[in-house]
Amino acid sequence: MEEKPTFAPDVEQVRAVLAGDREAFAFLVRRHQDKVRGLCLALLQRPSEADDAAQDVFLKAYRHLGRFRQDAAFSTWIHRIAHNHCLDLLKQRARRAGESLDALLEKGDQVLFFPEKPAPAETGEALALLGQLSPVHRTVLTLREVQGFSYEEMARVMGSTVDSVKARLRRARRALLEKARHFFADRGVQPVEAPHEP
Amino acid sequence: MNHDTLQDLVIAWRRGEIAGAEAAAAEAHWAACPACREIWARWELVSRTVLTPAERPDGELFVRGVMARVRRESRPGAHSPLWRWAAAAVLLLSLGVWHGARRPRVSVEARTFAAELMPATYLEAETLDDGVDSAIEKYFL
Repeated sequence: MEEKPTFAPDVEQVRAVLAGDREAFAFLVRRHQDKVRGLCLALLQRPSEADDAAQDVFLKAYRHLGRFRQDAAFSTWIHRIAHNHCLDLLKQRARRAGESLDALLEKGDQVLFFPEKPAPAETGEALALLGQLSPVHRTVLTLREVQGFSYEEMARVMGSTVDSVKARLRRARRALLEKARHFFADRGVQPVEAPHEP
Repeated sequence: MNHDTLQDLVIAWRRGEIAGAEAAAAEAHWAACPACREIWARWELVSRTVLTPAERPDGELFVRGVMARVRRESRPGAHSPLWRWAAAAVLLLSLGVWHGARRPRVSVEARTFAAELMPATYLEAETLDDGVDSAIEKYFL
């Protein structure tokens, strides 16, 4: 798991941008791009669309930087923008496919996964597995397992409660294990020895 | 506690997410349940494969793309929605005052009476272009 960023450097750069130093924004993009692009990819499932969405997310953040509360984490704030932006894009896709957003959020979305071109081999299998989960499950798994967010941070990003996030995470883990059954078949996974300290 | 719940707890315990009584229950179950140990082994494998940060060798390209768009923007907050609404309100108010100053002070009754006196064809032709007040102004003043 990656080390959690501290607030201070972000807040300094935000203040610099608000004071007129536009180039200071590059620091924030550099620092958070991997995670924001990762969340966009997990939600949208198309690499090129995810990068365009991530660019839009940073631009939205820049435009509304004055609204960022500087006692909060910039990382949580920008992930919330990314989450909402990607949900909007998924809504548009659902509309085109004649689906409601609620139906879309709760189901594994074969309907929403239209690969424009084959993903690189190393990411293809992972994307395909993740793509079989619902956007909600993809979001909680990405925020928790990839980005290392706490339950509280996840709740802020998703506009939800900690209890709801915990329940969604449990369901998402079960769903991923279920979808990955075929994945274990050729790999002969053996049970580990007990007892074993975490 | 049913087995599904204990299985969830085992993963959460192995991930260091729980403590206290829940952690103790998970640890005890872990020691006694080969199925849950297998689930954990599966979880480790699938999360290593699926849930790992992707390599992004084009990071600087991405930063340049964002900054090129940022440079085309005005300063953040310089054009907030509130500012835009205020500007629109001032503009509309100014237009209203200017238009009001141009209009002849004719009461509704006088306007109706004057319109009745004017030849219908003239009124029709003028109102098509400038409106009733302008037609009255041209005809009588």
